[in-house]
Amino acid sequence: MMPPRALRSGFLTLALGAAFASGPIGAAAGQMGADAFLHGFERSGDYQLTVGGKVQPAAEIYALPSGVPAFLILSSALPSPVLLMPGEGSVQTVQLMKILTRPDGTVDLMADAALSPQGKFEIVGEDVRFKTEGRTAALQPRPALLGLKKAVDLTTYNPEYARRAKAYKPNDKAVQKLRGVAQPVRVRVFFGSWCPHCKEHVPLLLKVEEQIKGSKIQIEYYGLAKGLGDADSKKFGIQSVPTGVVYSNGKEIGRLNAADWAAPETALAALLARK
Amino acid sequence: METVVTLAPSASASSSPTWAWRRVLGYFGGAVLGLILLVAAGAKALDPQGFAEQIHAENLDFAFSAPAVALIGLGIEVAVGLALLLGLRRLWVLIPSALLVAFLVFLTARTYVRSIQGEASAAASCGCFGNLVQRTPGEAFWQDLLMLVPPLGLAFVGRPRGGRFPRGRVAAVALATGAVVAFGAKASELPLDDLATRLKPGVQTAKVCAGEGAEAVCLGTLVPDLARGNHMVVLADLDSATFTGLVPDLNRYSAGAEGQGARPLIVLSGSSSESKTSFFWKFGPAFEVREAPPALLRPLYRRLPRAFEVRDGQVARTFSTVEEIRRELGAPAAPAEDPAQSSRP
Repeated sequence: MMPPRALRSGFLTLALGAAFASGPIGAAAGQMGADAFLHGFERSGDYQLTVGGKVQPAAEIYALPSGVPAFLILSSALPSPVLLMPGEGSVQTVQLMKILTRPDGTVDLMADAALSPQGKFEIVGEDVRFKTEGRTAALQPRPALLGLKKAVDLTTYNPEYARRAKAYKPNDKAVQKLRGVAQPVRVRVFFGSWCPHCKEHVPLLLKVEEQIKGSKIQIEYYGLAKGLGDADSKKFGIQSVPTGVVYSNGKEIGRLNAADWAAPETALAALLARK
Repeated sequence: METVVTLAPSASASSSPTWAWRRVLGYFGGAVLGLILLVAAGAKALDPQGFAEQIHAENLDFAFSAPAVALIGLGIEVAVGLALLLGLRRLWVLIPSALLVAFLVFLTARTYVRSIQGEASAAASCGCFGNLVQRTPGEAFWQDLLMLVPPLGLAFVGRPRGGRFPRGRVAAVALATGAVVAFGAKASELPLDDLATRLKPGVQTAKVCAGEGAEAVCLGTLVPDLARGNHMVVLADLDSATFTGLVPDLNRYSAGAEGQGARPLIVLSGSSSESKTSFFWKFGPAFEVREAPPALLRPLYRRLPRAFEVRDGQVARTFSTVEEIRRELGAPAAPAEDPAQSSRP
C-alpha cells in the first residue's frame, strides 16, 4: 500500500533525519529489509539519461510501478544513484550499497538508505533536468522506435513490453486455431513506441507470437513516428496505433483495430476463419 | 389576435389548388428547416461552453468573445428556426434564413477543403488515435448541404406576400428567443450535465465510442477494467488549476483504494503528451492517468473535471462539480474564499 504523498514525504524526512542522527534505522530492529515505500522499482523504457548533454545508453532507469511515483537512476556517469520524486520535485542521491537488486530484476532501496538532497529538478518541455554532485543531467523521452522491427527489439527497447507479455495468458483455443493455419499469413503490427496504448496491447501479441512459434503465421512490428502524420502512416492508411494489418498471399485480408487488441489472438483467429 | 391567413398575389391565384399546394409545400420546407435549427439550438443552449469552444476553434470570435458570439449565434438560430416553424415566411425571415444556411454550409465546406489540403486533419491529429471523427469533413459538408438547402429552397415556394404584419407570431418569436438566450447564458451553472452530455447513469461504457466502423475507439476498449467491479473515473484537463487542486485528494483517495479494496481510480485525459509529462512530474499523481482521444471525451462533459462511478461496465452515478467530486472522494470541502481577502488589491 502506498500512503499519500504528504505522509510518505514525511516518512522520508523522518527516515533521513534518523539516519543522519543515529545511523541505520533498521539496525535497531535487528534486520535490514527493503524500504517500506521505496521498493519494487521496475526497469523503465520511457526515458533516456543524458549527463553533460551526452546520452548514457548503459544507464539503468527504474520506476515504481504504482502508487506515488519515484524514479531511481543508476549510471556510471553519475557518482551515486539518483532518486527523483515527481510531485516533490526532489533530487536525492543514495549510496549504491543500499540498493538491492532482486532475482526478478526489481530493485529495492534498503530501509537504512540515507538520502542526500541535491536540490530540485526542473521540467523543460518533456525533459526533466537536474543537477547532482556537480553533474548536469536530464531524463528525456527516448527517441521513437521506427521502421520494421522484431519482437526482441521491442522488449529490449522497453522492458515493460516483456513484463506485460509474460503476464498475459492468451486464449488456448484461439492459439490452437492459429497454430493450425494452413496458408502462410503475415501480420504487420503498426505501433508507436511513444503510445501508452501500444505499451498495453502490443505485448499481448508478443506473447501470442511466442506461443505460435513454428506456425505459418509470421508477425512483424513497424514503429511509426509520433503524431501519425508521417509518410509511412499515410502509405499504409494507419489512423491509430496499434493496428495490425493481416496479409495472405501478399494481399491485405483484414486488420486488427482498437477493440481487437483486448485479446488479439481471438480477433486474429476469427479474422482468419472468416477468410 | 392576428389573422394567420395572408393575402396571395391575386385573388384568383390564391384560390387555385396549385397555389394552395405551393403554400403547403413552402410551409413544410420552412417547418423542416425550422425544426432542424431548433434541435441544433437546443443542444447548444444546454452546453453553451461547448458551442463557444467550437466558435473559438473556427476563429469566429474575432470581434467579440467566444461566449458572447455563442449567445448571439444561439439567438439567431432560435429566432430563425421558430419563425419558420410558425410559418413566418416573409422575406425578412427567409433572407436571414438563407444567410444562416449559407454560413453553416460555408463552415463545413471550409473544413472539407482544408481536410482535402491536409490542414485540418494534421491539426486535429494527436496521440495514439490520430484524427477520430464521427463524420468525415466530406460527410459533414454533404449532409449539411442536403439537409439544409432543399428545405430552405422549399420555404421560398408559395410564400405569402403583403397582408398584415404578423405581430403576434413575431412577439412570440422574440419572447422565446429572449428566454432561450437567457437560459443559455445561465445553463452552464445549472445541473444539466446528465441531460446535456452522453454520460449519464445507465450508459454502458462499452457503447461510448468515437470514430466510425472498425476504427471506432470506445471507453470499454480504452479501459477494459471498467467491465468488472466498481471504478471511479475522472475526466480531466491536466493543465487546469481546478483539476490540479484536486490532486492531493485524488492521491489520498487512491492510496486508500489500494489498501481497502475500494474503487480503483482512473483519470482520463485528452491533454497532449507534453501536458501529461509536465503534470506527472509537477504533481506526482498516485493514480493512473490514461490518454483518451478528445473526440471520445468531449461529448461526455460540459466542464472539467467531471467524474463518474462505473459498476460492472455501467455508469452508476455522475459528479459534475468539483464539490461533488470532493464529497465523493471523502475529502473535506475546499475552504470558502474569504471575501475580505479576495477583495484586497
